[in-house]
Amino acid sequence: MDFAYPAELDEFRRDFSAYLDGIVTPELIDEIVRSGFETRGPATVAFWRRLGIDGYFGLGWPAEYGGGGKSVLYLHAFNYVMAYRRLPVPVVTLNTVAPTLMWIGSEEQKREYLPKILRAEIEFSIGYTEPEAGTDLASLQTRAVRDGDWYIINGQKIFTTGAHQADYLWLAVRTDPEAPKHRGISILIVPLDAKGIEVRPLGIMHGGHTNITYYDNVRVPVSALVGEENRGWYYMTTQLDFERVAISPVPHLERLFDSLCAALRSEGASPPDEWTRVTLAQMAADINVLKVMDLKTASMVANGQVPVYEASLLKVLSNEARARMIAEALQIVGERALVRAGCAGGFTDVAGDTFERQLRESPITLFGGGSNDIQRDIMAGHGLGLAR
Amino acid sequence: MLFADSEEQALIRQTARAYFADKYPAERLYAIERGDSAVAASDVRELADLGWLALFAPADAGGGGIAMLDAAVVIDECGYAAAPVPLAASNVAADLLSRRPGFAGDVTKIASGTTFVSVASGTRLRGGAAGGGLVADGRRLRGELRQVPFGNRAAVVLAPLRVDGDRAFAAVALDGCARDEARTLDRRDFAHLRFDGDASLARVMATGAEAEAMHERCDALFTAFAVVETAGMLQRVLEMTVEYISQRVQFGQPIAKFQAARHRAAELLMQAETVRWTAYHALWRFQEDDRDTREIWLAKHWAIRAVERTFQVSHLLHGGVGVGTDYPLHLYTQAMSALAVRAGGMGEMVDRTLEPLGVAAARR
Repeated sequence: MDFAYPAELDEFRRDFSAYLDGIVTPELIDEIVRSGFETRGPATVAFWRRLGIDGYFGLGWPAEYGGGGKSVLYLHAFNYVMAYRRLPVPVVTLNTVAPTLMWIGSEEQKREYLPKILRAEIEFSIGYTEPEAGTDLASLQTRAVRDGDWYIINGQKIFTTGAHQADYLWLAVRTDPEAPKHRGISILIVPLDAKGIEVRPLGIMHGGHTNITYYDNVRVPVSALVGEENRGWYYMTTQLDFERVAISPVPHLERLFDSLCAALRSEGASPPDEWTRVTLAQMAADINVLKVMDLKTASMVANGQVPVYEASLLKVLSNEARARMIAEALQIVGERALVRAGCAGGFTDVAGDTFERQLRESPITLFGGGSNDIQRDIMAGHGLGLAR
Repeated sequence: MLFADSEEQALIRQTARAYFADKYPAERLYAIERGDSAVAASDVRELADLGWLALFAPADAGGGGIAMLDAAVVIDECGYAAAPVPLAASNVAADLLSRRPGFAGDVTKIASGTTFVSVASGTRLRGGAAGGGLVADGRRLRGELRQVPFGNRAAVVLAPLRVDGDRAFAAVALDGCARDEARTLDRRDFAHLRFDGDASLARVMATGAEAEAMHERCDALFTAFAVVETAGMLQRVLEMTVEYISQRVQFGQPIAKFQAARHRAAELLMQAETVRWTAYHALWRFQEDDRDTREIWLAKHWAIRAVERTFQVSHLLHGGVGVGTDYPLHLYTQAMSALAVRAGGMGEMVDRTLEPLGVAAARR
């Protein structure tokens, strides 16, 4: 066992925080808060470009793609600092698209997309889920049929988050309807301005909207294929195991806890009631567990291992803890916490976010990225060897 | 970072697992539970021969001189086997004695198995709530220590006490004290100790702030090792349950094929893994800087709840088999429930957690 957190990463966190202090403007914060933390407004894009130019988007990328060649722990630390401050990150573009392109993309794709991703000039939206293919994602039906040097795409996706403001879709399509369902899926890169794509908003409870997207004879060249045809499922699931590491749940919970403590301290003389004390201590202990397990998972990746059941374990624990803690935070703060952003008399956390908004957001992660019940099945299968 | 056993730790684990499996098979544990057998002096001598009674006390003070984390692996395995041996108490005692000039001889005696030293940890004695604690006044030593681990046969116990009104921490010889059996949820070898004897029985190790610091170290280590031992128990309960549900057939198939059972087993996995890594991580923090006890209290807080959940889920999945006294599950669920209360309960962990945050008035 070796639990020492590399000193240079602590230093990186400090330096990066100081750097952010210098470039995060009141206009940016205002834009982020007003958009309900779903922004891709001009201040946000300018902020991302700055991060890209200064090398932060490519920290963990190999030098040959213009990256910093750092270990995955740097990416973990970068995401941590950004998430604690509730600053937006183009998550899927950086954590799903870019690593997969580096892994199995064609030379042409790497040349075309990676430099632009690094400079935050383009953004991708993920098109996986369909109305009839959610938890059972491999049942997806959106078809891509080869027609000479082109693919013709027809079908429908749902929860195509960010499609209304992205440049490209990272689209999972069925290319072989005869093959077993996991072996007939491919990934295509589809420009969102291609003819035949319709993006319709689908409102969601925490504000803003995701999208339903329709594909009516959309044509893309065969060069849009990522990796090999019909190997898409393998690429998607392998990438997911790594992606979970980059997105730590811990900073959001630490921010919540720090905000509660700061609020209670500022109230001065009156000590909190017993329930509040008990709940706070439980939160502290739960967050500690998540921090340790999060480090464990990240260190596995840094050591070249693939966390499978470990990633599921972290996801279930953290998402359920998050949903519970938000509800408890509302209880602790009381009615002030119910006031929506922009109204007087409300309560915001140290990053300017309201607890009521976070409550509305909290169900998402219980099923997003693979339902928690599926994660429990992964633990039973991979972690405990229980045959189905 | 490496969240896995080092080669040395793996070797220690393998040795300890084999030893405990051989010496403390289920049949012997049942006999100990019934009172038909006990951990004998010869068993303690064997532990001494293995070097396990003073694992991490410095070598130049007579201890084994290994790292705390490596020592924890032995205690983890002790939990895995549910072996009712005095490893945690003995190792904590050796550590505390090794830190005081003039007490090195005691460490040597612990390590060699000649003197059996326990600790009256700890946390439940804070403020003298349990039995009023010990008081040395003038020439007399009076008072009571309750539920002292292995109090039925220890020769010396380390305990906080008041000496002429001042806080102190002492090695108290148990010659002549009255020992009342304190049979607990999980043990037959604890005792309530009543003192009314000569003050020289208590050899003072520290007074004032130093005594307080020693008491704190005692509590921290005792709690940390309790969580490590709990981790071992949770791991065994997990394995036992997985094996059981894979074999138990109902409705024509192993119950492990039912999603409800699979998900409950996954719940046990989460509890076992999280308690293990928070325990080791907390102990590592303490090993690096012994003022850094925060994660120990957090880990215990979590472990208490993990034990409650594991208790329910493992018994639910085992059904009637699990409560049988000829099936090992009950030994584990009893012992881990006792540890959940023993080395600092939930109320104390709430206080310990909140005090440094400055958001809540302490109850004490």
